[in-house]
Amino acid sequence: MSEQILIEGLRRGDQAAFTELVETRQSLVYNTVLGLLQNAEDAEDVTQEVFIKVYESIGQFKGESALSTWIYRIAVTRSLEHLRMKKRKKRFAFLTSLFGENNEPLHEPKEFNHPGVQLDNREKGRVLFARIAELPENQRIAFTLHKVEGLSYQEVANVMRTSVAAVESLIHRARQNLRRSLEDYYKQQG
Amino acid sequence: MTRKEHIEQQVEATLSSLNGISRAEPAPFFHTRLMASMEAGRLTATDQFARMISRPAFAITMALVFLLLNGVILVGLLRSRQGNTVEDPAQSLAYEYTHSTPNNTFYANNPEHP
Repeated sequence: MSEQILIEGLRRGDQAAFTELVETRQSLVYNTVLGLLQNAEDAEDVTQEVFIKVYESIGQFKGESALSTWIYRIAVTRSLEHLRMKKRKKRFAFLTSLFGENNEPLHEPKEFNHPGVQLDNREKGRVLFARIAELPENQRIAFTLHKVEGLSYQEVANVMRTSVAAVESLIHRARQNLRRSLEDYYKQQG
Repeated sequence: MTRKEHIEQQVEATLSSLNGISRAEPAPFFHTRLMASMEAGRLTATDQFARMISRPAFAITMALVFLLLNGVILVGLLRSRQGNTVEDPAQSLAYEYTHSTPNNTFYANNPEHP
């Protein structure tokens, strides 16, 4: 199904078009969301939310960008919203623990193993993802879209609605921050 | 190899660990779970609305609201009628005719005048 026919079908609420969309784009969305959230359960939930959002908002898609670009934007936006919500919940849980209302320990983030990382790189991949999670938001998005999802600088720029030069700068700064963080980590390791 | 070189080597290896990464796939039957979620979401919204309007408390509240509105409108209408200074034109004319002082005085005092 060509993209134009797919979009027309989605606008009509055609179930076959929606099925086609999900089956051809579910990896794209899931991998992007997983890279940002670093949690498989959350990634499954947010991936579902992304497709529901696409289904409900297809009427607002003006066709100025490719359909995939638009879907990436929704995936990134929803992922960031999810991360912010989790942060708020953590803060609230901390406050209630101060007042003795909640004696449960704060949930520590699990170490994340991306299933797509090659076997002999698993350990280092885990260390790297932990550092990626500490990057400033825009650097994290640019780095994840480029390195985890494999988008070119131009494609990343389209998703982030910025220039290629800006993306280059973000990824360069991300690498610098990661390098610094990794140096500290390995120094501590001894 | 110095310790610094060793650390640099590890840093480089870690930064390169995502090279050749393949896309993660959702668990099998993702589409089925998605459709189930969408259906559950749709049912939940409709079901909630139906439950809300069928509750006795809701029905009684709406009835009271309508009665109150009717009462307010009725009271408003009654008040406007009591304060109404416009009289029936025929009555007004009769009143003027019988109570018009100059004419009554003249005929009363001059019975022979037609």
